[in-house]
Amino acid sequence: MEFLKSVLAVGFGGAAGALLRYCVILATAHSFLPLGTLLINIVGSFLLGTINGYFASKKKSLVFLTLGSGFCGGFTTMSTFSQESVIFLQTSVLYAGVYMGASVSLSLLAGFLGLGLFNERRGEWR
Amino acid sequence: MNHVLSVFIGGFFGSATRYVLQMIFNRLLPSGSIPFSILLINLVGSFGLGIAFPQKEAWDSSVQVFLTIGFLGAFTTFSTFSMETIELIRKYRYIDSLIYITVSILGCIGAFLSGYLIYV
Repeated sequence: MEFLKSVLAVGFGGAAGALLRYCVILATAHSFLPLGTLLINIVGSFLLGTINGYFASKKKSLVFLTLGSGFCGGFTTMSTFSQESVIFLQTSVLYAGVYMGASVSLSLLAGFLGLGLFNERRGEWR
Repeated sequence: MNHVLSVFIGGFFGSATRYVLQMIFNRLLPSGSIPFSILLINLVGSFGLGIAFPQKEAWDSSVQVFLTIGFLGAFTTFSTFSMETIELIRKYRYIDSLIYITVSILGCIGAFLSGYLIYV
C-alpha cells in the first residue's frame, strides 16, 4: 500500500512535470536555437537540488517523492537531450559538443546551487 | 487538448514506470560504485525514442506526443543524473563521476542513434 502510494505520487508529479516541459517546448519551438530542453534540464536540476537540500534533514515524505522523482524527474529528460544532440551532430560536431558540454556543466552547477540553498548542514557530506 | 491529455497520461506512466524500475534495479544491481539504475533507464529510454521517433518534426498525432514527450520524456531524467553526479563529486569520487557522466551522455546518444539507425 505504501509502495502504491509512492508510485502514484511519482506518477502525478511526473505528469505535471511532463506537461510543463511540453509547454516550454511549444514556447521555444520557433526560437533561434532549440534551447528549450537545455533550459528545462538546467532549471529541473536546480529544483531537484533545492528539494534534496530542503529534505536532507527531514523525513522523506510523499511530498518529497511527488516533487523530486515525480515533478523534476518528469520535467527533465535525457531522451530528448540525446535526440537533440544527434540533430546537432548532423549539423556540426562543434555545436553538438557545445550543447552537450553546456547541458552537463550548467545542470551540475545549477544542482549544486540548489543543493546549497536550503541545506542546513552545509559542508557536511550527506 | 488531446495532446495535453496525452502528455499528462504519458508523463504519469513514464514517471511511475521509472520509479518502479529504479526500486527493482536498486535491489538487483550492485550499489556503491556507479549509480546504474538511472543510467540503465536513461539508456533504454533514449534507445526507445530513437526507434519510436527519429524525426523531431512529426508531432501530429496524440500517440506520438504520448510516447515521445509524455512517456519517454518523463521515463528518462536529467535532474536525477545531475544529482547522482553531484553525490559522487561530494564524496570526492572524481574518477567515478567522470565515468558516470561520459557513459551517460555518450551512451544515451549512442543508444538513441542505434535505435534510429535500425531504419537506415
